[in-house]
Amino acid sequence: MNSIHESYFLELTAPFLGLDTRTQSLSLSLTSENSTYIRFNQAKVRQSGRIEDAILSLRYQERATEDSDTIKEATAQVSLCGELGNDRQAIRAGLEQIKLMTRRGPHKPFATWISRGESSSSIPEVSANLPSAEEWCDLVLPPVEGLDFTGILSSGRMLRASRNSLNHFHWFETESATLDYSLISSLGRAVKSEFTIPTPYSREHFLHLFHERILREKEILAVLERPAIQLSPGEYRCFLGPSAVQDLVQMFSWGCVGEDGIRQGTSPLKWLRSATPDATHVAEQNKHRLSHLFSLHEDFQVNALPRFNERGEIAPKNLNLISNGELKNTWISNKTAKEWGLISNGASGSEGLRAPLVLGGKLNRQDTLSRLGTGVYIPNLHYLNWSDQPAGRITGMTRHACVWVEQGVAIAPIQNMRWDDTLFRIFGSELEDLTSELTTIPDTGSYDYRSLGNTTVPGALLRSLRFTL
Amino acid sequence: MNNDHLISLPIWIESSATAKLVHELQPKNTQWMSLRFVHRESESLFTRDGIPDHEGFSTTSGAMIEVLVNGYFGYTATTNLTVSGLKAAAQEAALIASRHSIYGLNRFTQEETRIASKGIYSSPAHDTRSLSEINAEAFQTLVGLHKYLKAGDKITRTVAGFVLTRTHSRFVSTAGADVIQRFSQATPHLSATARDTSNVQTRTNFGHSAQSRQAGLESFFGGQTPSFTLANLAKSIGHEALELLNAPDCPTEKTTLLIMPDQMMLQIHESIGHPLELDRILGDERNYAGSSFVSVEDFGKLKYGSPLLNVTFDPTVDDEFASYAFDDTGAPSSREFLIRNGILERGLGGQESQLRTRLKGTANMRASSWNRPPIDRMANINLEPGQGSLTDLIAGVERGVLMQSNKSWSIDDYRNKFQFGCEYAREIRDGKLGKVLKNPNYRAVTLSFWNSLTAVGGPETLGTFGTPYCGKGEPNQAISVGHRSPACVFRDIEVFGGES
Repeated sequence: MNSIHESYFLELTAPFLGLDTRTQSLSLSLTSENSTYIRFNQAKVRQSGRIEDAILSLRYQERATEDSDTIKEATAQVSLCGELGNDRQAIRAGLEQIKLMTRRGPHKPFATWISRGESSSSIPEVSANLPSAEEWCDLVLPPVEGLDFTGILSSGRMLRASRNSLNHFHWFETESATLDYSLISSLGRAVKSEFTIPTPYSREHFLHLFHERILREKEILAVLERPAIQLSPGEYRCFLGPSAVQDLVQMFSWGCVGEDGIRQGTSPLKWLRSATPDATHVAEQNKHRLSHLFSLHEDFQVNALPRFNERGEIAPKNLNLISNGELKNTWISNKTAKEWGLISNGASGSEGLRAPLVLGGKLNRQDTLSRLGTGVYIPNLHYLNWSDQPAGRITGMTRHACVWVEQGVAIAPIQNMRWDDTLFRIFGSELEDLTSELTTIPDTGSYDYRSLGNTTVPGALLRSLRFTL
Repeated sequence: MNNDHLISLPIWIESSATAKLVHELQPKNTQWMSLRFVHRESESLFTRDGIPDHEGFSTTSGAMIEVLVNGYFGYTATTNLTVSGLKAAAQEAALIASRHSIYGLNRFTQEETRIASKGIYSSPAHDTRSLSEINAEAFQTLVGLHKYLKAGDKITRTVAGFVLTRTHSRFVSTAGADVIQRFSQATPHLSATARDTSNVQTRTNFGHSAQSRQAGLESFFGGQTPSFTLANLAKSIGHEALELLNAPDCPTEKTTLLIMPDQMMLQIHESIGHPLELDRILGDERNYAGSSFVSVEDFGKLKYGSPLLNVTFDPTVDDEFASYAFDDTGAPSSREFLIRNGILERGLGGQESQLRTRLKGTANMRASSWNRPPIDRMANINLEPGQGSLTDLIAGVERGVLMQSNKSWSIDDYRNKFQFGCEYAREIRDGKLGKVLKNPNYRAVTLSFWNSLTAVGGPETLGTFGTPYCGKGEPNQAISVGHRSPACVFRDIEVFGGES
């Protein structure tokens, strides 16, 4: 929303923050986008448009006295339109409603009072200079003419902000464009790609990069035109490309790296905790180890997203979650912290990953096929889900340009296979090496609003992966 | 439904001036324009371990503007609902459509793709109060469920919550469409997690969010049948979570599988609903959600399942989660057979997909909110009942497994190879239910699976479920869907248990 800027947000929210901060608190959190979305199919435009949206989240709290740990709270979300009078009216109505709910409702034992913290502001120093919604097709479509190019371009400005009645304030603003697309063969197999268009945008630089990518991908498409091989269920040596590793890493977000999941026993990472109540547990623990090659961090230094969460709490610049296979830290939200007597570390409410980075290994990318030898090259996975979460078992599919390789030579695509295996084999006993080169993959998701951030991962060479169907 | 909203409705949803407004805002170079205003309010209350944990509401209001230029639909979506804001958005949509029309995948006309319907729809909601009006009482009720959910010391986490969402929309077009729809959707949440060292088992009310229905606040105080009241459900959930702790894993074998309606919901959704979406068949989703093993040529011929398989698209069921009278392009909804006696008849495609494929379709171009364009979605996809009670179905199984309540779901991008996991299972031996089994999973390939359907339960076994979380589309959209099914029996299905 072009009319929402840092100064507008400050002016808009100021009248609502004058509370008796000993007994009342208000936290505000803004999510806003002004995005162009262009959807492609067969190198044509299927749907396109522009979406302006802004959502303000409010959390209101009350307590009887400054020392009281008995807190009442309620939350609200309202739409903002960028017009001061209308937006103040929307906030006022939302705030009145949650004040009413707070007073009528019971206290919330796991609620925590807001705390003072540092403020921050991140505004790009140079304009991203992105093309307008009308211009994108003239740039993207000519290079892929004649190809079955399908996917989406997302472009525009995104805002995240937080302010509370203790007057700490965070502002994060970015302007970016991503292309998330597939080049699809005549047999329906695809080369999938996701990349962030470099900014400040330069037409020549973008077209050069895009042409190079398409040329490389056309070479892979040629292999995909060969008749596919049908593999039988069983264990196969394989190389997982960075996108496939990214999909697996995202599973760590799903009730895995959060302290609450570990305390509840639903997270498979509970096995990495050193507490060993009995011999049976020790034996089980030994079956649930990660490889010393596997290290997972949250790294906000290289990632284009804010460190503050929806409550304005700041995460560490780097949080070492798993180091050489050992669990070092977990995400701890303030609610979990209160329940278990811990200290929160700026986790989001869901305690999921935000800026994941998996450290690389020693495998040179150009040696990937020769090191794989005979097995399956898997660039993409699809539709992952826990098949036994406490045990760390995941099922999913191979997808897109998966190729059978013999003695380091790509032979032919495979018919997609279902696999069902555990994190403790994939990133544990079966992990042979990781590529030294890391790939940064943008989060191109857009449920509710356009996502921020990237995942940075290597490719992974596995001694075996269990194909089941 | 009354007009007691948490936040005022945008004036355009109820105003008599809205039909005129679309004409006033239409840019000169456009052949057609529509305005779709949406106002949604969602309220939620949650307790955890018998303690009030969360209370909140969210509102979102905005407008989707679609214009037709040179046979191409362009759109803008905005929260700025002032006349000047809407006018600027309409002009921008026209500019985008004009520039992108030369690259358009298809050429559309308004007459073929945007029906000028007029009408009103309202969900069958009887208690129109908001949840916040009774928050103290509601919390008391939810807290009270904890004693049932915590059926023993080994229950380590209980959750009881309720989400009530009300959505008002108004769709007007320069062709004369004027549709007002008022939805009220309710989703109760109950779960109990039991733990015994490393063995952790969770039971919920029919799977996560699965008890979603169109209803008002009355559904908080009583279910559609006495056994579906929150208290009765909480009792069985707590008890069954403990049962699972002591249960053996589901065996690994090829056997007869009896699937209860709450898992049939997921089975229908993933392996019938999605593969029949015409936009997937046309390739729109190949970069994201995926394609389909079904081709345009398969309609009218493909033997999708055994002759017992009859599946309908039915947004007309009174209280099913995704019922409506018109889709988001104004097409009036009607019940249609998708599969009849096992043969594939019709796909899930709105007016645009019908034109693109020259196939019959359904009124299912839907958008998740004001800020997304309409695409082909499921609505209510229902498996029609056969004959016999659940006891009859069980009696017909010599050796097998009964599974219920979805826990895990995964299927390939062409919708062939799936693997689904459930919360709870029972062994079936010699026509009778046997011991409880934990970590039940099964896997199969779609067509062979549906062709192995050997029994479809009668109306007395029907269950109606839904979910707010069907994901699809670029940009992504999560939308509500409903599924009604009887219990069904399948032969020779590969089942298996957990890692232990």
